[in-house]
Amino acid sequence: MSQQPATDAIRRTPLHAEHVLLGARRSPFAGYDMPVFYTSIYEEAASVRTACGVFDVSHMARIEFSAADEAFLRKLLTCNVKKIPGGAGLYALILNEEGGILDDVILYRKSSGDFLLVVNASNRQKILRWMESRGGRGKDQTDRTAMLAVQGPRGEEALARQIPDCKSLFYFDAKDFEWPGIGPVWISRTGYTGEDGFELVMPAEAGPKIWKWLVNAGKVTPCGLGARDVLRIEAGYSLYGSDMDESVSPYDCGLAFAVVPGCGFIGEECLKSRPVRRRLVGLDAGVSAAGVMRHGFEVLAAGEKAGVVTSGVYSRTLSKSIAFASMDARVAADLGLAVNIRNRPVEVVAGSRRFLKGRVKSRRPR
Amino acid sequence: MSIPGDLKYTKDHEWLRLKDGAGIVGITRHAADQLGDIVFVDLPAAGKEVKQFEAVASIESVKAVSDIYAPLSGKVARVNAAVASKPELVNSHPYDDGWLIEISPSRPDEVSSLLSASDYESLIRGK
Repeated sequence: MSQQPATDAIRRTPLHAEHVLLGARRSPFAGYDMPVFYTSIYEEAASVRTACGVFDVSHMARIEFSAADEAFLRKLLTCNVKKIPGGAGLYALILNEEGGILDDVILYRKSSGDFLLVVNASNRQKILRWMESRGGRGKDQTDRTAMLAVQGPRGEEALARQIPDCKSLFYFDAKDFEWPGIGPVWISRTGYTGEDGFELVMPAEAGPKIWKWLVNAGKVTPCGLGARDVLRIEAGYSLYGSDMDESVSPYDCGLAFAVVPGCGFIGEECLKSRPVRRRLVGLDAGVSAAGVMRHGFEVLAAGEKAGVVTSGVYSRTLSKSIAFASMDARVAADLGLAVNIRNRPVEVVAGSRRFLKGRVKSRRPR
Repeated sequence: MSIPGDLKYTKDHEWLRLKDGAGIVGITRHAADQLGDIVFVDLPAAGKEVKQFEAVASIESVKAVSDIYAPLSGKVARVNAAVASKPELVNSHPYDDGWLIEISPSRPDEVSSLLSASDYESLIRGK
């Protein structure tokens, strides 16, 4: 008897044909055939920092919950769900019972009372199973929708040509809008680049129409995952799988800000007593170093192994190699550090992971 | 993609231009495109002795590090300082401003073991 082999066919987002049309260099990511770049990673990154770029982020999972599911979401997430106002979102973590990180997510409360949870593409099945096993009743809307990230100082100007009211959104605000001639689009003022920007969710078939407007009439630069990785490291944003995984707690990897003790989330008890073994630092190799610090490279303190690089890139904006590294928490912070780049120790300075100052549109402090 | 007819090639995607007894070496457009954005170029010191098809330099792109192999044996006469500070030249101008190394060949007969433009084209088409 012959058996059909299980096919792990690569998935495509609703924008796939657009990437092919533009001649993108593509690569599999989280099971999806994704654009890495269209012209050049650095040209695309530069356009986000100076003008505006658009990313297809449809591969990320989008899960809907009803207002009645709030109690479950409060149990699931480390943020203070109660305090999220209608029309806003909040960054949070999902922890396992030991306090290890299962995913980093954003939860939005819509003005209707329903919720939207945005989950990393690589964790979609894991999180769906986790939630189901703990009484969650979310509806996975990923395949029915598309998602685009419009990022850069000229993003508002471009988007406002079709949706003038997008100007009313401040950082982490989110609202339903109508794109003239296309249909409903939900927009949040969020992003993963450190620039002002928006993330748009629309029905799958509307995705290519909105993309086409942005790229043609909107004169927004198509940008791939290569640029996305450079931008997020420059801005100090972590990536699940590279900078954290289930083996670390939020306190081990610089994500304490996403945890609000006292909210009664899964993992909270363990987190209180769990020793903090590591910390996540930024590493700066300076302008004279000649090599990229890559995930897995050893970090030495006074010649002894003291940590490991978790993410790294060459930043053309800053003209230097930068990285995040997970350091043994017992190692003194002021020891001379070096990264082993292919058997050659390169001196680095540890500091903030935020290599570039963010330019998001925050509300003025009251 | 046009492959300059006046150059010689290696199967590892280096090109060689022989000019007044000097051998200028770079990587092909095909290679530069495959690498993607180049961020560092590690070139040898002038005076270094090199042997045909041995690793003589390396190029790091966002993706990975690749070794560059000498098309001819000889001595490194000079290297392109411009690509050290602007590695993106290798992506934009692989056959001229993005040249890498100049070799004074010690065994010019080694040229016969290199590929012609049409041989190189067949090689990359076949891939």
